[in-house]
Amino acid sequence: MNPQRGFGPGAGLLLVGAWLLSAATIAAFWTSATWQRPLKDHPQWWLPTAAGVALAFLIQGSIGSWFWRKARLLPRGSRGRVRLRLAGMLAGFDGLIGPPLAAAFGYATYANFQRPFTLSGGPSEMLLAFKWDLVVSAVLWAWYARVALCALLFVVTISTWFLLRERLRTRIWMVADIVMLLMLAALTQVGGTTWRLLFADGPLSNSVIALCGVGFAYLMLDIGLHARESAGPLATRSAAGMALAGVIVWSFFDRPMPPGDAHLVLGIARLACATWLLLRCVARTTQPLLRLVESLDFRALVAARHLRAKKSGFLAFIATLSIMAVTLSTCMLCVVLSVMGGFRKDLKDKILGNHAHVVVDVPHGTFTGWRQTLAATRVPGVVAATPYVQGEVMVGSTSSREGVVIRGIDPESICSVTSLCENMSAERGRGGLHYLRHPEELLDLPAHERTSVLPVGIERSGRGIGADEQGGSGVVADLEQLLESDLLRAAQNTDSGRGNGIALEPLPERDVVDPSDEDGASDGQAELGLERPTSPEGRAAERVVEALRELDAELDVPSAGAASERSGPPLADRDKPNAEHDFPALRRSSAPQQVLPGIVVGRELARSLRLFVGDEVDVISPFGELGPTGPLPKARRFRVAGIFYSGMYEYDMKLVYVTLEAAQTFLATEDTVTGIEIKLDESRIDDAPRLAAAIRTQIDRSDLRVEDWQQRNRNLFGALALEKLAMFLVLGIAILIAGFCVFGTLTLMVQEKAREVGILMAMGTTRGDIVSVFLLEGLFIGLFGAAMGLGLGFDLSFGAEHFGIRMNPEVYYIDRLPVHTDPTEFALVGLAAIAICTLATIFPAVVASRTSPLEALRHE
Amino acid sequence: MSDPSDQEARRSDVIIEVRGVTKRFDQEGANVQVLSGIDLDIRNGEMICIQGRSGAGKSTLLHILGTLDLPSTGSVSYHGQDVTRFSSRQLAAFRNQTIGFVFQFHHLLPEFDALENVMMPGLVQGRHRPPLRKRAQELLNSVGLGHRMTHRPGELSGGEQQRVALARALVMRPKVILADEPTGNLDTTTSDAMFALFFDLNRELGTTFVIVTHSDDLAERMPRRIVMSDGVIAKDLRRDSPFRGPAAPPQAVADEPGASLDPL
Repeated sequence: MNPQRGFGPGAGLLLVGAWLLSAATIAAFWTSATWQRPLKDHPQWWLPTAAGVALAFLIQGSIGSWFWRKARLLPRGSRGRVRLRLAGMLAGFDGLIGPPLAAAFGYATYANFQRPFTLSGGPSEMLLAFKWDLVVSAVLWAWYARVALCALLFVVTISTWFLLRERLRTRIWMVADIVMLLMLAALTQVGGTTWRLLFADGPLSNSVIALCGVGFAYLMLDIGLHARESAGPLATRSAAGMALAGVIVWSFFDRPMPPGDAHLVLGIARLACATWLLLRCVARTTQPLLRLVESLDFRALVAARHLRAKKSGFLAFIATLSIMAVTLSTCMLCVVLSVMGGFRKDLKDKILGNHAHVVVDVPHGTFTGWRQTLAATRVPGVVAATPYVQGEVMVGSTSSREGVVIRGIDPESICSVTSLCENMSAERGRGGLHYLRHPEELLDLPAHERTSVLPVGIERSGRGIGADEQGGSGVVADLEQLLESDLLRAAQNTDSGRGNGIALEPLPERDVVDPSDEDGASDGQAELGLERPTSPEGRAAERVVEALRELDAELDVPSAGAASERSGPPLADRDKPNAEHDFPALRRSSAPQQVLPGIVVGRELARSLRLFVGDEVDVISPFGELGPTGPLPKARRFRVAGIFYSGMYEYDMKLVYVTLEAAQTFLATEDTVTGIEIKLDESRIDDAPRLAAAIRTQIDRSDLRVEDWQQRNRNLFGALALEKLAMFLVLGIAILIAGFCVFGTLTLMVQEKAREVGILMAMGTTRGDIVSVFLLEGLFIGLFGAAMGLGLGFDLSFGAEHFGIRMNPEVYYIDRLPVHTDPTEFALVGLAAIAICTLATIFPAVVASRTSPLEALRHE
Repeated sequence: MSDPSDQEARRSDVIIEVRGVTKRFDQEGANVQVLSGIDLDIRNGEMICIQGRSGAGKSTLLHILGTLDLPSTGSVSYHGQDVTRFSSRQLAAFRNQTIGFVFQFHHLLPEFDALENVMMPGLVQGRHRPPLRKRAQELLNSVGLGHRMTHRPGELSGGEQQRVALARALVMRPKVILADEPTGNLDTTTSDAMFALFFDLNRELGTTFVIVTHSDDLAERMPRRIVMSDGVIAKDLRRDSPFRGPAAPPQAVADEPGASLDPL
């Protein structure tokens, strides 16, 4: 680049600054979406916003005007002038429109923070989700436009970047490296110290900090040496640098992220720094690596030298572009596959958790002699087995009825086969299986069992469970609100349904809560993690319910199942477990509580039927005894012994559990079972088909069917596999396009190197050798691009996996984006990228080998 | 030449035997006859220069000698082997081991430094690198470039580049060096030095040189001069040379069938 054209050293810095800023804005956009942290929680929210807007305005505006002014120095009509003008206009436009947009977006987020912000879905979905739909969607569209503009600016920036002098570029890189290293060191030190202060002072954190410190000093030295262009064992230094970066990245593995936004910021920043360093190290290692390759073979020598040589700036530029294309496409493919793998793993875990690995059953009905069969299933690799009876019934409470699948289980052995017990643990569900065996305990339940399962059943990402229980922000607040409004609506419905004209006035003369019980009640609330409704509406709802309950008591509804037929008492009870003292009438109606067999229901069913542990439910079987008009429905009453949360909506809605004996009696199956569920050793889950075959021979009954989990869910997993394959193919096209890029690069390379091909042939190089030389060039581009792409993809997936991208659990039934990185898939993607790049080179390589040496040498 | 044994001895001494070589280019219908019947014997250790006006076909002849181009008819034999029938793989090996090229524009590979350029023919063959490097260093020293081994062609002067090209041509110890106007771009002093180098090498190693040149001054000093005109050998002049007796009369003119050719 001719310095007289006026590309001063400031230019590159400005460009880099602009890009850092844009990246930061986008990062902020993502993180704000990820955290869902309302702006009002940050007291000085306007300060960074204003600063960001001003800074963006300043930098981008000055870049725009700078480009514009510089363009005048170039001759009229020259390409550089057009390019600079374009860049100037883009930057100016961006500078003018970006900051107000950022501000508007910030305000929109601020104004709409009550709604959880989902990352998925386009603007149309957001349009539905937001309140100020038009404004917000316009802002969002504009934001997309701005991102697209940034991308354009990026392309222009790259082309300008290559116009800079090389020394300047090296210097910019050096500055960026040093800044990143400093940041990394600071972050690691700060992070490590915080870690030590907050958590155990483990040897790992110390060693990591020490390693980082040593590596930091070393890399500083390395950069200093590199800047002075001193010759030295570059390969060793770069390898050491890479190893260091690897250690840094690796150090994330053994650190579960502690809750809290500060840690999230630190973690993300450290990941970003480490990624940057890793990429730089890879870029720095290329030269020594290529040098190493050169020593292998004549063909490798020529190919590597072609790529390494800085003879033609344009070729270097397009080679870089094609490497970037490969990098981006592989990275994208890896991330998408990781997310899909995450979904699959999530699904698999849930299915394996709720179902046995192998099931022995009959195609229809039940079978006898199950005890011998159960004993026979004990083949090596089987951990546990449990029998079950299954049937389809209706479960009804006062509010509604649902068709469900009832399962009679053996409470003692079921937990060693499925994860039902974990799903009923205090974090996820309520109650316990022991109530199935001892239903009498259900009559005198501890207070904490009779609480709603909803708010606490959700797994949190990044932030701790405890934080949300008190804060009640975000999703939890939403759910509570929903519950509250449900309650209110239920109360109103009941009211209008009765329609007896009794005015529902608040009862001022009687406080609903006995003063003496006030303390106990509030204690209970704190323990339950449920907020007492403090809003006026909540109070009103509570009073309505109280009033209704009293009314019921006074009217003395003659129904025997009063307690179970009303939704009122349990809901009211959740706030005041000992309120019964104040309501003799109510107590009277629920006093003759019988000991009923227990039943375990799913969270969604409990929510739908408004059930709590200890409530009574009617279970109705369509096939009862034969009456005059056909089979009469048979009904029986059970008492809710537990609520589970499996994470699969279908199971949480459609599965209920009772004891084996109760189910056998109710379904009139006598001493037969529907099937036997078998759990395998964790390490042999994927070996299930073989073990199933072993079990089949062991039990030796032709009427029984033995199926493993893959067979039982083959539709689902088949669909998932197909989807994944389709995704792989579709995104493989992205790699293919990158392959076109490689194709173009190599074709140009062949054109440019025609004379050298001629020289080589005059020296006795065979055509095959020439083909190999160019194939190797494509291979190197593919290798380099794939390595970078895989690294980046791993980094992104890793980040998403550890820091979590939130999703709306109401919509997706999972609260964060599941990500699962599969080394095999990564290897496959890398191989595909390398193969496509190499294949794309075949044509140019063959063209090169057909060059007549004479033709090539003749033209001067 | 009347002595049969002498003739036999000479035949066994012939390294390149060109018989009835013609070359025709078809370009957009126009049929251009570049060579119209060349017969030529080149003996081992001879130094030949080919002269002629532009378009006389001297470069084409050189390319055919160097197997970079195929004749339309006729044969070129090295040690009795017809190289025009070689497969491309055989040709590659043949070029690599028997022939060294020195081009007018020297044609060095720009990405490689002087030493690597000299080593390149050996690398193509897959020779072990350390001895190859040693030989290349020796050669560069002998052409007076010992101090510029790590310089790329772009950093060398024209004469230096040409000397690198010569060293490259010699690295495989070829039997024949074919040079196409090796001094075409050099000033008189440098080209004199270049030719001196050729003579030294010829004397010391017995390498056969076939040199195409425009310079009469240099051609005068060559032991054997072939003057080409309109695709035929017009003159084949031998000076007294240290290797053989007096030059044979230009009998080639009598053989040539190109008399029917239209003078261009």
